[in-house]
Amino acid sequence: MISSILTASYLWKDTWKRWLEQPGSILARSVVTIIMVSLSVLLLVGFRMQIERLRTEVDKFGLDNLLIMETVTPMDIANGVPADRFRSIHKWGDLFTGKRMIASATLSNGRNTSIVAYSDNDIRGLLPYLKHGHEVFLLTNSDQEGLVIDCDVQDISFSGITLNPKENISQLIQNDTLFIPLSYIPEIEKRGYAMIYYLERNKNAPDIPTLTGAIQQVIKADGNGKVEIKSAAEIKKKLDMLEKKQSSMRIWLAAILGGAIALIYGVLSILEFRQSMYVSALLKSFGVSRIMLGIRSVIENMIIVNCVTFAVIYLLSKYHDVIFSSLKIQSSADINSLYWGSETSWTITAANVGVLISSVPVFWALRKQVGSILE
Amino acid sequence: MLSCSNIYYRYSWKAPWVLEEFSHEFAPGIHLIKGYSGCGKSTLLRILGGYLKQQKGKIDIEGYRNNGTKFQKRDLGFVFQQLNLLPLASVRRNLHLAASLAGISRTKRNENVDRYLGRLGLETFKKRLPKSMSGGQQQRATIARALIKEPKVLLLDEPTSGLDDLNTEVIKKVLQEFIKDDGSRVAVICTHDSRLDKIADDILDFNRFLPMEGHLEALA
Repeated sequence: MISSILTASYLWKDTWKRWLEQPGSILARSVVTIIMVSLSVLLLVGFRMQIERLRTEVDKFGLDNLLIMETVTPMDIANGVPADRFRSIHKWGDLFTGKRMIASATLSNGRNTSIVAYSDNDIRGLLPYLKHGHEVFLLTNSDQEGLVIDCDVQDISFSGITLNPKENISQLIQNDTLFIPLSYIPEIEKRGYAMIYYLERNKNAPDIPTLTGAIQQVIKADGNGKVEIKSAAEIKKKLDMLEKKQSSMRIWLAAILGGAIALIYGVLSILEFRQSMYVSALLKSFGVSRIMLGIRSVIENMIIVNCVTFAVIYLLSKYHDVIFSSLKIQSSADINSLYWGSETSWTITAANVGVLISSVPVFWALRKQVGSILE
Repeated sequence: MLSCSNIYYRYSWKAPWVLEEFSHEFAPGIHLIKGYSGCGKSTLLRILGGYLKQQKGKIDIEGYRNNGTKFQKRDLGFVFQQLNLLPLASVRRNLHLAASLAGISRTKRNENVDRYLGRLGLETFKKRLPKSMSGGQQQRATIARALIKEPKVLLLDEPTSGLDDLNTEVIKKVLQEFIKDDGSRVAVICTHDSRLDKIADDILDFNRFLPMEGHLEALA
């Protein structure tokens, strides 16, 4: 035991002296590690952010929901394009419909809100809100329920109350939205609108891709392509593709990072080993094992690689917002989980494996007989 | 105690044999190997110590299966021609490291450090680094390092080369005492130095193994 302590302490002293005498060697290793780890972490974190964003979108949208938005222009209205052509999908689940108007309403406090107009056909989906007894209501997340409001729509005044959107349509109502019967604002409809169909699929209905396909067939047959279909299935598809890419990217990055570290550290380690070859041979002649002498090189490189890697990851996490906002990538994912999770553990492991590989030539060189080194 | 039989060694397969069918038995006592440079003295010493592996032949050491790490740690004291001390460790630390690797207890280690540094006149140098010492002092420290674990086999390669008479006398005296202390110890010394002849129990002339044509041509 004491011999191991004495040997380790001597080897540490020897390493420390070399570090002080040749800081360039540590610097070269650090620079390579900084570049490779930064690239690797940024790419993996960027990917993860994209994935998290899509996951949030899928969770928010719901895997059984389908949104269809059909843009109806004044010309379409004049040509008598049927605006209600997808209403029949109500048989596959709970359907929420409405017309998002191009105009906006002004509240008594000066705030502008978007307008959704509804007809008798749309009442079914609005029953949870209409049961409060007000035909005009403002769906809002910022005000409490039941407040009386006054608003102007194109110089016509209305009164209503505030209500909070139910969970099922919360993703449709991003900002305050005024719901008003279509019959109150017939002139505004003529300017054009977006017809909204939001379906919550029944369990026994065809799956979302089948429904999407059927709707696309209708659009194709009618020859009117101003329809946007949005479903979590599409996002999920994109998400799966991204996750697949992420897996292969992890492997490639790990191979490149580990390979670069193995190469640079290996070359430097063998050069340094040649400098301290006599001392190693002398220690070997005393009976110090080859493994112990080789482990010195592993530990030395692991100290450098891990200190640099952790410092780089810490700094990247600290300046995460600055870096990614300049790259115009947004994510609500938790920074700690981004930087101290699977992405970085992958990078750290690759770097350490690179160090282990870089030590192979040193272990090989240590096989040389003491008698052929010392005279 | 220490013997070798039918040893063959060459530095590469293209090179001629340095040692060819060499056999010898080293009984307890001091053995000098003498001969011209290149005759294979140092090579034999490194083979005996297990620091070079012979291509053919066998080394027998009493109490050991071979001359591997176990033997080197416990019962071999070896003095190379150059670089015998760890440059960043004090003399004392050099001695302690060698003794601890041999598995010598702390008390015995401390006792031996004082004893051998005392015998070699280095008590005041124990805290010094090798680079702050003269060649003679370093060589004495090297011998102390080889003796500290009180090995059964002591192999010394030119231990007095370039040393003055005083340093040589100190080393001779210490080696003689060390061998006398335990009748089973063997010391094999490669040397050109005739000042060591007096302490030898046996002198092995290696010149008889070396073809002399080259030397004679050079003299002509």
